[in-house]
Amino acid sequence: MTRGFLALTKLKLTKPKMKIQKKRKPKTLQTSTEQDQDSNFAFNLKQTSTPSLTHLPIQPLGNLLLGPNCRTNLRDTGLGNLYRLSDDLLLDILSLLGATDLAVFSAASKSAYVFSSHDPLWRSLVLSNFDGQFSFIQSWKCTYINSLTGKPPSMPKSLKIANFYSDYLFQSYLCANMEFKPEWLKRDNIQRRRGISVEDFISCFEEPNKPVLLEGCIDTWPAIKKWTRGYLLETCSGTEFAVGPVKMPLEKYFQYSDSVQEERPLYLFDPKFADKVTQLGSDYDVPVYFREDLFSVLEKERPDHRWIIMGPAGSGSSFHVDPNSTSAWNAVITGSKKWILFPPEVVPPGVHPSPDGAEVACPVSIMEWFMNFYGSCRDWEKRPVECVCKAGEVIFVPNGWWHLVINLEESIAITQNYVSRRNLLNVLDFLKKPNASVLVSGTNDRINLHDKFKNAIDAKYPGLINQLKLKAEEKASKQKKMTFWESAADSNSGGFKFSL
Amino acid sequence: MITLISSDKRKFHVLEEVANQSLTIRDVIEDRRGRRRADRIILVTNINSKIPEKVIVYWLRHFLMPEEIAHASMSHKKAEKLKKWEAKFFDTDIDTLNDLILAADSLDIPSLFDGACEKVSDILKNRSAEEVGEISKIENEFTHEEEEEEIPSENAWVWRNEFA
Repeated sequence: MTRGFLALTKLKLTKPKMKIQKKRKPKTLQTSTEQDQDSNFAFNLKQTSTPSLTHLPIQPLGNLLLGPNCRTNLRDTGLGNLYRLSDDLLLDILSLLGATDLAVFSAASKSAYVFSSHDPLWRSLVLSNFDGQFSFIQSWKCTYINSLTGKPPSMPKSLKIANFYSDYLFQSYLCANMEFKPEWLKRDNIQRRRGISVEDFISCFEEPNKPVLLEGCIDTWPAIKKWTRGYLLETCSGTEFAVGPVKMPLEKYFQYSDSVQEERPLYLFDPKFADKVTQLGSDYDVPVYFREDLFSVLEKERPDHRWIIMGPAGSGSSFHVDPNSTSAWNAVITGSKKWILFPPEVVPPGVHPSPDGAEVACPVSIMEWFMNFYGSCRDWEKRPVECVCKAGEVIFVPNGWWHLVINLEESIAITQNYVSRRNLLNVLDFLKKPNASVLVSGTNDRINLHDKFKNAIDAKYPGLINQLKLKAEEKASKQKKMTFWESAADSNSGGFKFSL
Repeated sequence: MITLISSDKRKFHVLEEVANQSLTIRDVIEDRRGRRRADRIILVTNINSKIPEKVIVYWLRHFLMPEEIAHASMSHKKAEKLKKWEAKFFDTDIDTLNDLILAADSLDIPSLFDGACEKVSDILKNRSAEEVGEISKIENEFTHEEEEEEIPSENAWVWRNEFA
C-alpha cells in the first residue's frame, strides 16, 4: 500500500480526468520489467467523476510530507480532540450516528464536513431508512436528502477545502473513480474450448476439477438476442429483485447503476428470479455440460441454485469459494467480466479465511485488491487462472476454487451452482461437517440437509453413493502405487509443478 | 501470569486468562508458548496514564462471564447489572473514551471497542453544531459566507426535519 502511495504523491486531485503518472527519467533502453513496474504507479480516473471529487480535494498523506509550503493537515486541525482517532475509527463512530446527527456534525468544521460527507455512511443510511424505495441521484448523501424531502439539496458551491490529507479517504475516492488498468487484463491463461463433447468436458475439466471457458454453447439462448433493457423492463415490470440488503424494481436499479460511481457498487443478485418472472427462466436453458443436477432430488427443499446477476462496471464479488462445495457455471449474456481463480489449496493474497472455513474475510474491495495484491502473485509458481469472459461465453468454476469477478462494463449474467456425480461425495462431506450450521448456505434447514440429501439420493439412485466411494478409493490406491517419478511426471498436468 | 508494560514504563501483572480477552495479546501468548519466562512480558505501546487500569478493570468485570456474554445466555438480572456497570464505566470525558477506543483497537478487544464507540456517538447525538464543537473542541474555520450560506442551505432539511 505504501509503495503505491509514495508514487502518488505528485497527484493533486483537484481536476477529474487527470492522468496520474510518475515522471520517468529519459532512457534509451528500457527493460520490460521496468516498464511494467513503472506503469504500476499510474492511474487513470474515469471520465465522469463524482461531484465529491471536485469539491472535496482530498490528498494522500504523502503529499503533506513532500508538499512545498503547507505543514498542517486540515484533517487534524478541524477535528478537535477526535483528531487522534484514525480515519477508519472515526468513521466507525460516525456510522453510529443517524442522518440528522451526521449533518449537524458536518457543520462543526471543514474537516468534520469532509468526514461526514463520506458517501458509504450515507449509503447505509439510505438502505436502512428507505429500503429499495429510493431514486438515486448524484451521491448517496443527495439521495438520502432527496428521498426525505422530495427535493435534492443545494450542495455548497464555493466551499473551499484545501490541505486535507488522508490516505483512507483518498484511497476510497481513488478506488471509486479510477479506471480498470489495462495491464490487469493482459493475462488470459484459461483453457478455451468450442464445441467439445460432454464426455471430453467431464474427463478433461470436471473430473480433474479444472476451470475452462466454453465458447459458443449458449448461442441458441433466446436471452442473448432478447435481453435488452427495454425487454427486461417490460417483462419484469412490477417485480422487485434482491439488490444487496434490499429489494428494488428494475427501473430504480438501472437509475442507480447508471449514475453511481463508488468503490463497491451494489449489484442485483436474485436467486428467485425465475419464480418471480417465469419468462426469464424460459429465455435460457442449462448448457449440455451441466445437465446433471443431483440437488434436484430435494425438490422444494433444495438450496438456492440459480441467480440472475446484473451490475455496472466495477461491481462484482471479491474472493470467495462457492457454497456447499458445489461447482458452478456462469454465462455472460451482455457485457464482460474479468475472472481470477485460485485452486482450492492456494489462498489468494489478502484473503484470511477462518480456520473452520466458515468465514472468508477479504477485507479489501476488488479495486483495492488489484491495486495492492494483484502484483504480489506475479512471481508465484502457482499463478492464478485468469480470463475475460465475454457475452456468449460460459465459464466453469470447479468446486473449492477461490474466485474474484469484476464487471468491466455493465453486464447481465446467469449463474447456476450444481452437484453432479463428480462432486457428490465432496458435497456430502461438506454438509456433514460438524459446523454445518454455519457453513451450509442457501437453505433454512442447514443441519439436516446432509441426511435429507443422502436419503433422497439413496432413494432415487440406490447404490450410487457406494459405487462412487469405491471408484474414489480405487483411484486413490492407484495414485499411491505410482512411483515417485511417475507421480512427478504425472503432476506436470496436475496441481503442482515439479522443479529440480 | 503475564506482565504488561505500558508506554510510560509501568508494569501490570495480569492473569493470562484475563488478558486473553485481548485477541492481540492472546495471539502473542500463543505465538510464544513454550518459550522462556521473559517472553511473558508484553509491551503495550500507545497505552499509558490511566488507560491500562481502566482496561484491566473492564477485563476483570467481564472475565467471569465471557461465555455467557458471547452466547447471550445471561440471566436478565445479571445482564441488567452489567449494563448499569458499563454505563458507569463509560461515563467519562471524550478524551478518555478516545484513549479507550485506541487501546481497544490495537489490543483487539471487540466489546470494549464497540462500547466506547457507542458512547462517543451518543455524546455527539442530539446536539447543535456549536455544542458538537464545544464538546470535542473542534474549531470552526468556515468562512463567514460558508457558515451563513453554504452549509445551512445544504442542511436546510435538518432544521425542517427537527422542527416539523
